[in-house]
Amino acid sequence: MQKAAIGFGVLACLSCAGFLAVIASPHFPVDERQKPSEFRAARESVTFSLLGQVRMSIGDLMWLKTLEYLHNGIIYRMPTEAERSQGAEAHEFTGMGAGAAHVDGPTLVPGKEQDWRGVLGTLNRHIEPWRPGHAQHSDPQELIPWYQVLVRFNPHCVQAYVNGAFFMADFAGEPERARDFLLAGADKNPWSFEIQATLGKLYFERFQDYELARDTLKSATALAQEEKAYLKRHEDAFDEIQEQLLGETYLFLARSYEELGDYDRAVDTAEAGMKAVPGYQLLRVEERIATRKRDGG
Amino acid sequence: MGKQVSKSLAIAYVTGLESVRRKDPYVVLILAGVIVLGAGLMAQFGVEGLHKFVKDVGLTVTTLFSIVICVTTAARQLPTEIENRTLYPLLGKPLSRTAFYLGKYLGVGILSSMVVVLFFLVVRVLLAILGIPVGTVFYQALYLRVLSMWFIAAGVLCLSLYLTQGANVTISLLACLCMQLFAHSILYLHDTLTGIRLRLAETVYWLAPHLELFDLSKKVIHDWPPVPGWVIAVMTLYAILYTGLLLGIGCLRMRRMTL
Amino acid sequence: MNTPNAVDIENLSITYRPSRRSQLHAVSNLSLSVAPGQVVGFIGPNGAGKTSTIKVLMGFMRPAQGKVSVLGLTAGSVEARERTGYLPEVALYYPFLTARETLLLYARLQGLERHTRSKAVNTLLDKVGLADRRDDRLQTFSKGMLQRIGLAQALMGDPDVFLLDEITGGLDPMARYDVREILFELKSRGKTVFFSSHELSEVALVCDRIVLIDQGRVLEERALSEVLASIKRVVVVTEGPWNPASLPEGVGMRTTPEGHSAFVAASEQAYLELREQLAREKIAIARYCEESGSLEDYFVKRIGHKGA
Repeated sequence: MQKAAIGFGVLACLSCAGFLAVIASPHFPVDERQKPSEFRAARESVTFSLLGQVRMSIGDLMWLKTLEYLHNGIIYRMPTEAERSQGAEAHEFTGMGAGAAHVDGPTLVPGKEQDWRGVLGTLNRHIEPWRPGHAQHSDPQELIPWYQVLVRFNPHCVQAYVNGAFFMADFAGEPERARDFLLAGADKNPWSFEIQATLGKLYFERFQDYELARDTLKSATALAQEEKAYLKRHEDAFDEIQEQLLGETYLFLARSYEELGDYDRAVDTAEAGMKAVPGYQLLRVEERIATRKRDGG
Repeated sequence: MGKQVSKSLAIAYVTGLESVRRKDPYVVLILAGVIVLGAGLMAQFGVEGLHKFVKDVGLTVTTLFSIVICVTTAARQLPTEIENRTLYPLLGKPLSRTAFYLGKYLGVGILSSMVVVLFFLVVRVLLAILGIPVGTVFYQALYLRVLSMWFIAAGVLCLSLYLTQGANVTISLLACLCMQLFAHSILYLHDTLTGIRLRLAETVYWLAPHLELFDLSKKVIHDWPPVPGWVIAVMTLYAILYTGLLLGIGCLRMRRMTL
Repeated sequence: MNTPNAVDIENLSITYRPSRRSQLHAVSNLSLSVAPGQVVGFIGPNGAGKTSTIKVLMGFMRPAQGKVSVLGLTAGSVEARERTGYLPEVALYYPFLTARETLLLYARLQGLERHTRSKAVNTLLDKVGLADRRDDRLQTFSKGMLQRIGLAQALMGDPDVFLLDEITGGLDPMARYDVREILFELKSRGKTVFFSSHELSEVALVCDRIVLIDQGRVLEERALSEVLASIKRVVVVTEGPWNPASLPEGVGMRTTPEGHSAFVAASEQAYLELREQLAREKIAIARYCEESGSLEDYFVKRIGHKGA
């Protein structure tokens, strides 16, 4: 009985600590985006290592969990340098929208031909989920709880908001829930152009609220420009996925203007997008369509 | 021989009785409640049909708790007997040290297996209530988990003859919970290693107790088909051989120990 | 065919290693034997090596050298332990078991048949005076009651040899009386008892023989009757009081209730010197008598530096 009481006591203490963290968290808002250099500095901080790092690490574990769910329990890994030199490639999976992009490499558990572990390897391939070839994806609805848990541990994991909202809207068929999730994310990460862009696209595609989409996407492009300028000053740049998302942001902003009948702005936005993201071809198509509509075609 | 077996059973019975009278079942029931609560988190997310999530939470908590219970129970047996001097009058009787050691092992093994079965039963009932189907692989997972308990108990009991109780619990828990991590890490590292490092890594891999191979929970969670019968048979053989080795080392040490 | 000794110890040496670099010799070249049916007291100061010797006899420790056997069987073997009743110096029993469950466990370990266990347990509980506490858990028992449980488990199966380490430790006078009765009974039934004790009065009452050990060596091994005879003292009572200025070495003085002076000579030499002094000073002697000396004094003198 005494042990049960101690057990309950420990659980109660942990719960109290959790509640305190939830209550205290809003009083320490992060109102500016943490830059890569700040992350580097923070990692050398003892306090951050002891406290912040734990939060991030748990968040990272949850992220891996979502990938595991998506791949029916099979773990994929990035190809090693040696494998790359032999022509092996990771295949990027971007079909769910730019925000949900991730990389599938070879399976972590090697196939029979590459395995050095003999019978233990064979047993491993039977015990652990394993299948040769490219990844097959499961019902992504199952991933949603993990994103929700993830953002509780690490509310600054932008990718979790973006992916979670995508699955809520497209697979669970609950755009309202996706919108609320993104708004919560935007609240925690006001600097994030990714969240604003995804939210804007959601307003456009799911709610057909072109005014709200226009305003949100405008805000997203502004944040993206700010971010790009900052990165440039620090000799850094957007990665491929961010570039693609920025292209989509301009595209949907142009389409919002178009839907609202403001063809001049639609054309201007498409042109601005083409300058900002020269590699994103859909903007050229949009520019031609908007120009034709403006010119009465 | 037959008499010593009967005496081992007596020691096993007392080991079990101790656990019951220490009120350990209450702890197990509380933990079973945690499983239910954990899986009940699903309601928080407001999404229907999160089968994988419920199974994942249930089986992860089951694995974690059953390993912790098995390790802590096995680790306390021999040091407590020696510390409390309850061992002396027992070994004053015509009870061989091997029979005593095996009796303790039997007691811990049966207790841990019962805990695993109870936890799996809770998960099974929970899944049935939520209308989540499980296949044969669920029962295969239960069998392998029970098998792993006997394996772990043998290892922890053996270590308890060499290490202090605290050190034993720490090392054993780390070994049990990090074996998967180790096995995965070595797969990552293998291609980047050469020469003696490669040989060393491979040797460590071959010698290490592969507890991760007793975990079918991912297959249960992601609705994979059952594993072939021969895999279960080989795993049983692996467990028997490794457990036999650990018990052998433990019995030898026990027989040579100064009390 | 010769009947083997109940206990045979030949050149036994026991060494502890308190640290990697140091060695502690608990027992050195100890030899003794106990014939079947004897009750032998194994006495000596703390740290003399009594418990270590008994542990070797039970097989809990390996000797550094020497041969040890019980009833002609290898000490510590299952066969030897089957015929030995052992009571450890300090032993705890499972506190979560009742007195009855505890003895049933020991009955099973002793190898008693299932149908005889319950009867044996009840008999022993009666014998050690715990019959009315049979269903109480040991966690509620006092130290003395636990010692009684210990004695009961040692008696389980009616073994031939008893190795009892500090048998009366922690017992109150009543319990000590009960234990003494049990030892008398064992003695009358021809059982061999080899026990260590600090209570020299117990030793004096029940032993046939004593083995005095100090610093791991046997100092003396004699029949108790010889020891008691050797510590007899002559008491000389004078007519009326006499207060001499000095007395020979080994002579003590006290006053009798009648007001006479009584002089106690601890040795023959002391007695002779006292007689000479009395004659010189023309002191009349009222009577002579003999009294037994204290076993404790004897051991203190024998060991020379610390109490037994």
